[in-house]
Amino acid sequence: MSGQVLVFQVLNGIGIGMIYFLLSVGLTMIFGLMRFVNFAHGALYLVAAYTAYVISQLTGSMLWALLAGPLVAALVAVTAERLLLRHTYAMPHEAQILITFAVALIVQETVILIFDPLAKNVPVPDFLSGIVFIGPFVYPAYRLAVVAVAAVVALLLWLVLERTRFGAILRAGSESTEMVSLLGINIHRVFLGAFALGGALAGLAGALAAPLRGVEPFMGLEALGIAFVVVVVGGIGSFTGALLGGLLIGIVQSVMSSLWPEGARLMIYGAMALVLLARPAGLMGRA
Amino acid sequence: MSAFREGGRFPDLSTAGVAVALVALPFVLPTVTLASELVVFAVAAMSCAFLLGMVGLLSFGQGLFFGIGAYVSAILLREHGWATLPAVAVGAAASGLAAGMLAVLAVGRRGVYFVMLTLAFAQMGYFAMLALKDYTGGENGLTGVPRPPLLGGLGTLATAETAYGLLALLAFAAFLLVQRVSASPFGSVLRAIRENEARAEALGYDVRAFKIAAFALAGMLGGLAGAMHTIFLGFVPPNVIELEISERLIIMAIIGGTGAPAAPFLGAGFYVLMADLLSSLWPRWLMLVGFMLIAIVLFMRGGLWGGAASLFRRLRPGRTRS
Amino acid sequence: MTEPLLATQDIGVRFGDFRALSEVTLSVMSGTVHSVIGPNGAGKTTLFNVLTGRLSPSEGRVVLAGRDVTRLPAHRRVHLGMARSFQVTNIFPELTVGENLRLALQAVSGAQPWIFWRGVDPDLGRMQAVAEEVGLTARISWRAGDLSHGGQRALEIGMALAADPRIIFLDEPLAGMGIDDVHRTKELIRGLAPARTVVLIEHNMRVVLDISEQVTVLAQGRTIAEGPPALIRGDAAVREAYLGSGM
Repeated sequence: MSGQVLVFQVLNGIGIGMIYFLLSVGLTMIFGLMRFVNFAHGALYLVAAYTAYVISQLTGSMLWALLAGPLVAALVAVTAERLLLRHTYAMPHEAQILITFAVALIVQETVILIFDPLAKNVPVPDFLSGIVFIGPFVYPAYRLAVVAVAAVVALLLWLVLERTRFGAILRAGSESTEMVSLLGINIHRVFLGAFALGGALAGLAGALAAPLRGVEPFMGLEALGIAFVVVVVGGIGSFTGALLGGLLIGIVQSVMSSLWPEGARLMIYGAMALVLLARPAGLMGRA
Repeated sequence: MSAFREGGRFPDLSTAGVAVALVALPFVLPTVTLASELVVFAVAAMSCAFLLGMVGLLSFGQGLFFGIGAYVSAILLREHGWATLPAVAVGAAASGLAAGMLAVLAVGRRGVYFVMLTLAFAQMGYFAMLALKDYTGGENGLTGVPRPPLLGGLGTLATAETAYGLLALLAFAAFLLVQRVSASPFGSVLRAIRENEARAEALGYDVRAFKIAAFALAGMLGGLAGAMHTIFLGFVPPNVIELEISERLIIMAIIGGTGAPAAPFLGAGFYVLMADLLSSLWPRWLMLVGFMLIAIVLFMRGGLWGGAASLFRRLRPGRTRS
Repeated sequence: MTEPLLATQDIGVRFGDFRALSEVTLSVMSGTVHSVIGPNGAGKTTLFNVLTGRLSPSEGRVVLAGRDVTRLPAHRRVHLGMARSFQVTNIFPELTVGENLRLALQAVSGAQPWIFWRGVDPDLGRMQAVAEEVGLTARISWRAGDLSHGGQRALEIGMALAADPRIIFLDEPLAGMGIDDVHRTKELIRGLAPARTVVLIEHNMRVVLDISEQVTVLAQGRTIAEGPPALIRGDAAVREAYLGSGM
């Protein structure tokens, strides 16, 4: 592989990796806060991608799609939390997993019911359909925009976590939910907020990914698998871990896709197994 | 989730029940194909239910072992001209081995981490199948897998009926194994780990080693089911190693219940028959399964088996549970 | 002087920035009752977890009968003759009392736990003997979770005894017990030595001073006093540490 191709693939990998980060950070945050694994997390990504598809069909505007996707995903997350998930917090992990898995199944089947099982393309917005010259390199503008949007959101998210009261509560909650309750904070509101935020982030990932990969009903399940890999690699509950894990996985996938196309996806899992052997708790995880 | 009950008997009434059901199925069901599919998935669901009911391990990756068993046995039959029995045995053993190796990586991680890893491994299996397309046929799968006699030219499996006979015997053997294990000293250790892992460790049990062994055994059952699937279909569709199979096995295990070795037969039976009845009427019937799953987890932990068992107890008021 | 059965050297445990234990050095002589006391949060249970292998210390060594066991996992130490009970009752509540004891016996019966091809073969004789030792003979077929608190504490001790340990660690065995149970359990513990060595964490000071040969006092993760009960009773540092904590 020539140097130029390598640089191109690494850039691509950063774009994919940023999407993986957005996808996974909500999952890891919600786990850190309430020891809750949401198997319906991939379904939020799915819902947002289809929302982006519909909006871009209706309005032809990817910008509206990028706003509507996260919004709808957050709405679905909040609804699920209010109606069902909050009743499972006291249950064993297995019960939570099975229930959220069932929710994912219901969402997936609803998507097939409304649309059909076939994959659909989502057009790249016109003003981003061109290419960009970065020094000697040529790069698709949309992919560059994905990196930029994701980086801005990651920065905002970091500011929220580090600088706001909500962020402080989220961080304290991941140490001890008991403590948060003792401080007189309504922990259920915090949980709801975390679900809304995590849902919106997964939704943004889905909306951003839609023009890159198209939409199909089983992308939610695939995304869930990827998010798990990112979380396992990065270390569960860690914001930085999700960022590092997402980037690492994205770059591995992208670089390998020009070295060994059939095996690119496989190597993601190879990377995971290596990290697991070297650092069982993940890159940023505490043992 | 409900758990395999203390002690357990081997054999008990359910042993006879399973035997009778296996003999009756091809006569009761409209086609032998349906009966064959049912027993194949019953064994696969057993692999899931065994882990959850006995050890308390929830695995979203049993489809991986199903797939490995299906591919390994198919390659041995198709490329190497093996007889049926050894091909099935090696398919099951290969899955057991793979499960044991993955367990070394995964069982150190507790709770949700373990579940996430099983799902990731299942995904890995699918992509490995694509990457190894020279052996697995990639997206095309493996077609035209022969169905040779059992061993040394003896025991022909030419008809669907004789093939069902083999599948039923294998399913019965798998069931006997699970029932035997669950009522053995080894089974009692697994139950202790599920009940209170820290206590089991403090008593002197090497919890990690027992979990690895249990996972390998479950992997072997999954592999056996996969090999049976190859015998049943005569080809290997690539979806045998998709994540969807893992999900299906979990659904079957939960619906059937994880409280008894025979329960997965109910879960697999329910799923396979529903699929057969409903898929032509309303292809999105899985949505109903989603709601049913939620209802079972929230209100009917024992699944169909648990429901039937409590009904049975209520109908015999003279005997109360001790 | 004979060699101690169990000795530690400068044990230190850190959780992040928090030092749970610092430079704890301990010698437990064979056949004695050795108590570890101290105010809440002094690090007693952490020390137990280090001694029994649930926790690896950040510094220092644990030596059992001349063998360094610092890094040996908990389940391996059981086979060297260590057993423990827990502060928070830790049994198999859904199983019967008999099955709880049988599992404890089975754990130290060689390759027995790996047998999967035939039924369990309870050594009823030994199970009965252990049940009798802890006074649970009449309730052997009960569901363990249905026992009274005192009964569950007794079962815990029984499970620890089942391994026929040389040294047994009891973490607050009297906690939450009624007055009759306290007396019975005290006699039970006293009766364990000198056949077995007992390491005891306990808040009931009357019992501790009554049955211990040796007492180690921890405060804020450090040893502040060590000696026979008579000496500890009059120690100024111990009084200081306990002031206001209701000794």
